[in-house]
Amino acid sequence: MIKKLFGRRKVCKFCADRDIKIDYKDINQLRYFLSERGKIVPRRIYGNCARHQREVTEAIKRARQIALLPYTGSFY
Amino acid sequence: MRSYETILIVRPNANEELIAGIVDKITKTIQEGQGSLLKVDKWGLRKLAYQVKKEKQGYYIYIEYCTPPDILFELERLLSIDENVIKFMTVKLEENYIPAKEPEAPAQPEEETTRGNETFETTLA
Repeated sequence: MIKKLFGRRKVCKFCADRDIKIDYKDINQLRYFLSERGKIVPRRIYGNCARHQREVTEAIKRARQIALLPYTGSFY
Repeated sequence: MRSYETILIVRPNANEELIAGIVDKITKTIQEGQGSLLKVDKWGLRKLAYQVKKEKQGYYIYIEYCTPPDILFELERLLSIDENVIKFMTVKLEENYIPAKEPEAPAQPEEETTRGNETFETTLA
């Protein structure tokens, strides 16, 4: 029933626009996929496909390693 | 030869000379190993997302290069010894990586231009 109420099908942002490259250096783009506390947002929220969500998580984890993104807590 | 990219973070109190010295050392190591440097990009001072070795800020340097794997190990060894380098990370670029053309304008506002051609091998190391 809930599905009927919010019936809009989410489309993977990266499948829709192939030009967008997922890059761990592009923190402003990756920040979109982080919660306020720095957690990675599950893919059911933005409707990413499995492959692209995986790429996003990988990029976020890389960015975390080199202190571009936080492991926990808010970013500046 | 494989292409790699390395980001290193230098202590924020490092002066220009010191940073130039580090870049010099990297360049030398790569060239001695018959590698080739593709790109050196100084991102400058940035806030770190978390403290690294008690530092809240860091001077980011980004380099792209081709080198045989054993030179890479040597390079990483040198970086880990260096007191002023507080963190570094190397990522393997995809096999037939073509270096992005020199951006027409300095990288600050039009980041898209430098980012456009980059693709990464997504296999886990």
